[in-house]
Amino acid sequence: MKDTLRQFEVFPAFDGAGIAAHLEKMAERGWRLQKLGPFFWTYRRAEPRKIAYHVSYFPTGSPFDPALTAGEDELGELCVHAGWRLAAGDQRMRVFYSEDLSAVPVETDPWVETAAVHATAMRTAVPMAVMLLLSAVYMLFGTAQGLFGGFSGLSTAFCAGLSLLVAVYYALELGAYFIWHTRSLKAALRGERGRYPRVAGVMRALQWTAFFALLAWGLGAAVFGVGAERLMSAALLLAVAAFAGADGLMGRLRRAKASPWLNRAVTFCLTAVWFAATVWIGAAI
Amino acid sequence: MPRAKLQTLTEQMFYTLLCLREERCGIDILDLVPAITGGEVTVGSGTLYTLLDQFLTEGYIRETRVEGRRRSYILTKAGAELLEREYKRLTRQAEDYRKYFGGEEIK
Repeated sequence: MKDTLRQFEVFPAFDGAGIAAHLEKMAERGWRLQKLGPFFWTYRRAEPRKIAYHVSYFPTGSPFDPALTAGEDELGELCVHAGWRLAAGDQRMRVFYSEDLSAVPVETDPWVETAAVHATAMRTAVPMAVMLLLSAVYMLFGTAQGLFGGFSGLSTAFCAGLSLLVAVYYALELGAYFIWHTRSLKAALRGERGRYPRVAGVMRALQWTAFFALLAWGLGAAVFGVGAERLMSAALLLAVAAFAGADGLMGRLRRAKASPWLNRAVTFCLTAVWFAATVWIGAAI
Repeated sequence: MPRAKLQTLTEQMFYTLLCLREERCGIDILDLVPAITGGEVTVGSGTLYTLLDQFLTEGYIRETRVEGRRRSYILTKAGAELLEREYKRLTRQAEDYRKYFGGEEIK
């Protein structure tokens, strides 16, 4: 019997309530969160039971810095005092759990909570999502204009489809976030929390579709494609690998307690590779 | 850090500042707020962390001591003025209520 479970998880980055509800269901099935990864989350087997989870966001946390600030260290002590323990997380997002279902919630003021989430979002995920949405729209326009030179019709259709998937994915993520933020500001006036739009299922389906389409086309073009298609498939796969690698490597370097400057430099280089590959594909189109 | 649109303090903001009339650390505040409100108001650990950080940034409180993980704070003059402004606003509302209803209970 396996004692650990790695599961592909996709949630809107700031749907803390949705993430907590999912983790509570997993705990009832006997799996407790152990580690958050960029794509896969690790769970450990435990006695099935009801546990309360909470996700907190930190606008001042740096994803590059292995050290906790004095304030973040203080938070750990406050949570322990209130009956909450850290399950997993990083400098921007932390997941707490409590076996005492009557413990005072980690967040008791919806206004303060909304402000903290929004500050974190505007510093990290929103600029990144806007950049990726614009890149996808740029590629979509290129393919729509049919400027694919010597590429096959299949490759053109693939690029248009993939760009559309990416554009829809990030438009959905941004749209859902801003709908939630507007709802939360209104709800906070009544002392309530805003409900996050239910987009996690669609986002998960889009990610799987994009992943398998990319894999199939990349391998197909590399083996059967003409010269330009081979180069393009290599660039596209490189772009995706660099994008995924930058996110994963940033966390690994932080956990290995690498200096923030080294982490920033490595992440910057990988992001530059991703950007160059995207521009190259755009130019080819 | 009053709510931008309302220019008022939430209950948690109000009681956190109130507790810091004397030097206290975060854990003291977590315990004191339910004690002085008879359990009507509680402050969550994440909420308190965010509030202390923001009050500190905006100069409503200052740090007085650091002992290991424990940091102590006290209200500044700006924080005391903010609290007093909120007290006057709440008092004015209570007086208006009394004037309007003349001390009768609402039926």
